[in-house]
Amino acid sequence: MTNIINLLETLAIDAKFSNDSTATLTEQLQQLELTDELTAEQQQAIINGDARLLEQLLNISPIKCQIIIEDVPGEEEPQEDDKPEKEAEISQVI
Amino acid sequence: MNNIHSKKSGSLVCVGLGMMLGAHLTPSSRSHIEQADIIFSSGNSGFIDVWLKTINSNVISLQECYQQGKSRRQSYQEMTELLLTAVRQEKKVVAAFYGHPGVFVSPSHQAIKQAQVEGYFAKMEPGISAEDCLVADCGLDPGSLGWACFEATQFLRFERRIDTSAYLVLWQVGVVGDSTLTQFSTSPSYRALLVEVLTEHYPQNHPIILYQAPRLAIEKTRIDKMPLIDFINAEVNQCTTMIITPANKLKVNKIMTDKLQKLERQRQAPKLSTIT
Repeated sequence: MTNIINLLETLAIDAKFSNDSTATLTEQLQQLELTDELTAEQQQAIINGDARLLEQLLNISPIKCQIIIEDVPGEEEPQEDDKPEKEAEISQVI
Repeated sequence: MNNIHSKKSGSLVCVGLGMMLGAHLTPSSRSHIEQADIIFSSGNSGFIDVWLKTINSNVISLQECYQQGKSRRQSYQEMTELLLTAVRQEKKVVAAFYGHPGVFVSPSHQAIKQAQVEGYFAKMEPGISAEDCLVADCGLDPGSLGWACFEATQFLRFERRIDTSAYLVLWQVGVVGDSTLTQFSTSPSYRALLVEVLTEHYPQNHPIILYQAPRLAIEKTRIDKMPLIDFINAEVNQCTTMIITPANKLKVNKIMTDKLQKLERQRQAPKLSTIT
């Protein structure tokens, strides 16, 4: 598992993986000497950019929800905190 | 205001992990994570918690606060309370949110505010948000023609003024219309309502972009261009963002332009004292 995470981190820092062709991606995996540690399915999921499948293959729990904002104020009007009328407070912060 | 000289030993720092695992974490945020007693995380993929544990093993996922059918408002209150409880236990707490911890994130703001009220050190470290990625990936500059952004459901439920000469960016269009805060996705009939509002200002065939930032280095960036009407049946999820390009040219404000020119003439006119 740590190897996959290291791989994802390395690829992110190298910043060249997602724009490469499939042939190059396979080559890169070989260069990183990870092909022996990954199953054929895992390698294919990486090459296909299929994060969901990779999660399944590694038994990682998927994210239930990515929304972290109380997007709709409680009632018909925006909440008091959200109103831009606290000018004195805003100017203090600025 | 932040209590820098707090004598209480508990603290809270909310950090942003950025959008792509491993690519966007700032050195400062990484340092906070390394030194924390406990890290509460809210990531955009299942890999995030596994990755965070390679930096500091004391990671607790905030995902457990979510449940289909349960109001997200309650989930956010629970998240806030989890963070504050750990701070009150005098722990060095880090809350790690994907993206920017202060952009489209309620619990971070609520917890920092409350921790400061109670006299604890609490602050936020910025992160790379979805908007930052959108600007880079789509090659759009918010400063060029102006840029208004809204949360999609809020945009639908409240009367907003739309400037069709600027970019309009709508976030969370995949759950548009869920005013109960209990759903993780909404159907095409909800999206049709958003299109109904937008077609009061834009033609049905007006070009839009559906955007999704990659979460992992192996994923592709989604930049799908389509007519507005096609959004109703488009494939969307919680991370999909809609960008509506300007429909009209900028209109000159004649009165202000004249006033500016007058000021400019006054500035350039020689002062009497300088004439010899």
